[in-house]
Amino acid sequence: MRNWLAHVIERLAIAMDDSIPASTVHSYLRKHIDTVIPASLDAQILIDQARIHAAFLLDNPFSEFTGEELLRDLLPVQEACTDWLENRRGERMVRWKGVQRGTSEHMLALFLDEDDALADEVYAWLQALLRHVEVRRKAALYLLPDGDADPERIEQSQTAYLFSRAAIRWRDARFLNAALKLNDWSFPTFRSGPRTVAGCWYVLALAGTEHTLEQMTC
Amino acid sequence: MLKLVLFAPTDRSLYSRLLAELIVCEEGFVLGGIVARRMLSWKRIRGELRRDGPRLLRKVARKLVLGEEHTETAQPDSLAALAFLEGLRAPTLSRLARQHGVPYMKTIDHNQPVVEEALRAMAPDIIVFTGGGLIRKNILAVPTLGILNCHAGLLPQYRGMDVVEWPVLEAEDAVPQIGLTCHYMDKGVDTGPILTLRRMQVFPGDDFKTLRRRIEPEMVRLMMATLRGIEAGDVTPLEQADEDGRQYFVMHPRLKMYAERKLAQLSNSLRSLQ
Repeated sequence: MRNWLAHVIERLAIAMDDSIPASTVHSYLRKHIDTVIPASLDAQILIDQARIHAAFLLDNPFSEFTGEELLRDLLPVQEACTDWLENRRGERMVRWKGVQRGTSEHMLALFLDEDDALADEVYAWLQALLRHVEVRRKAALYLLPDGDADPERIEQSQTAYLFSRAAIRWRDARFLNAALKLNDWSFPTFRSGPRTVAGCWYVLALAGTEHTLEQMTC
Repeated sequence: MLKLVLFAPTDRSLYSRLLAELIVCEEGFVLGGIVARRMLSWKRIRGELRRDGPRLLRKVARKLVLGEEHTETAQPDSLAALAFLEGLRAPTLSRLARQHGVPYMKTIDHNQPVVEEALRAMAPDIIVFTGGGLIRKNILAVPTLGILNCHAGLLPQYRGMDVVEWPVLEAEDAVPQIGLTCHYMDKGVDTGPILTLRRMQVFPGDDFKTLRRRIEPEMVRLMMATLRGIEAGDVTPLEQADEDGRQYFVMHPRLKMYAERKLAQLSNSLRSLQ
C-alpha cells in the first residue's frame, strides 16, 4: 500500500515537473529556427536577427559570441537608455508585483553597451531582477501598472536572454539557472512554434541559454 | 541557565524531536515551550508547492509515506541512527512535550499574533529554529538573544536554497565549500550574525544523498555545541555584510544533473587516490 501510494505521488511529481529536457529544447530550436513567421514588416529585421543569432549560438556552443551588435540595433539607443536609467535612480525598478514596461529591453541595451561606469549599477539591478524572478516565479515580470499578455511574454524572453549573457559575463550560474526556468515557463505558450515577435525573442532566449549552458558546463 | 523555545516545521520532524530531546536532557538549558506548524494547512501547502513543486511531493513520499528517515537507522552516519543512539523514543513532538512537561502549541504560521503572545509570556533567551518558513519582525524581536538557525551551507558565501549543490557546481577545480553554519536569524535570508560553522568533506563514493545524510546529524551536533558555547559565553556573534555572500535559489534540474556529474567525478578521483 505504501509503495503504491509512493508510486502515485511519483507519477504526480513527474506530471507537475515543468522543466523541459535538453533533447526537447534542441529539437524545438532545430525545427523552428527557420520557420519563424513574420508578424509584420517591422518584425522582419528582428526575425532575421533572431535566426542568425540563434543559429550561431546553436552551432557554435564553444565559441564566444561576438555578433551582439546586430541585436543592439533592435534595442533603444544609448542616450534613451541612459535617460531611462537616470529617471529611475532613487526608486525601485523591480517591485514585488512586477516591473515597468520596457525594463528588460533597456537593461539588455545597457548590458550590451558594457559601459564601465554603469557596470556596478547594472549588476545590482540585475540581481534585483533575479531575486524577483526566483521569488515570484511564474507570476514574475507582470507589467505594471495593468499587465498585458504579449509584451509580458517579450519581457520574459528578453529577461531570459539577458540573464543567459549575464551568467557568462559575471561567471554567475544563478543567472543561467533563472534563464532556464523562465524558458521552461514560457514553453507552453510557444510549444506549437514561434509565430509572433514574442516567439522570436523566445527562440533567441532559448538559443542564448543553451549556448551559455554549454560554455559554463563543458 | 538558558531559557529556550523550539520552533518546528511539523509535529513529526525527526530533527526537531531529537534536538528537543537533547535540550531537555541537558543541564544548563530549560525548554520553555515547543511551537510546531500544522502539517495540513492550505496556505502552507500552496506556498511550498509553488516554491518546490515536484520536489515537495517527492519529499512527502520519502518522509511520510515510505518513512525513509525511520528506516535509515542501518546507516551509521544518518540522523535516524543518531536518534536511536540518543534513545529518542517519542514519535511526535506533542508526545515528547507531554513526557517532559513542556508547554506545546500548534500553529498554522509561526508569525501569528497568538504565537507572539505566547512567546512573550514564555520570555525565552533563544528560539531554536528547526524549520517552518520565514520569520517576521514581530517574532524576531521577542527572544533576548535571538533566533538560532543551523543553515546547511557555509555562510556568508552560500545563503538560501540548495547550498550543498551550488558549491559543487561552482567549485571549478577547487574543493567545494560544503558545510554548516549556526547563525542568529534576521529579516534577510541567512544574513544574520554567524556564531559557529563546520566544514564538511566529500568522501570517496559520495553523492548528494549521502552528503545530505551526513549533514543532518551534524546539524544537531553543531546546534547543541553552539547552545553550549552561548551558555558558557564562549561564542561571539559575527556580523555579516550583505556583499560578503550571494543568495542562491532552487537549482534547475539540468544544472543539478551537471552538479551530480561533477560530484561523481570528484568522489571517483578521491576513490582512485585511496
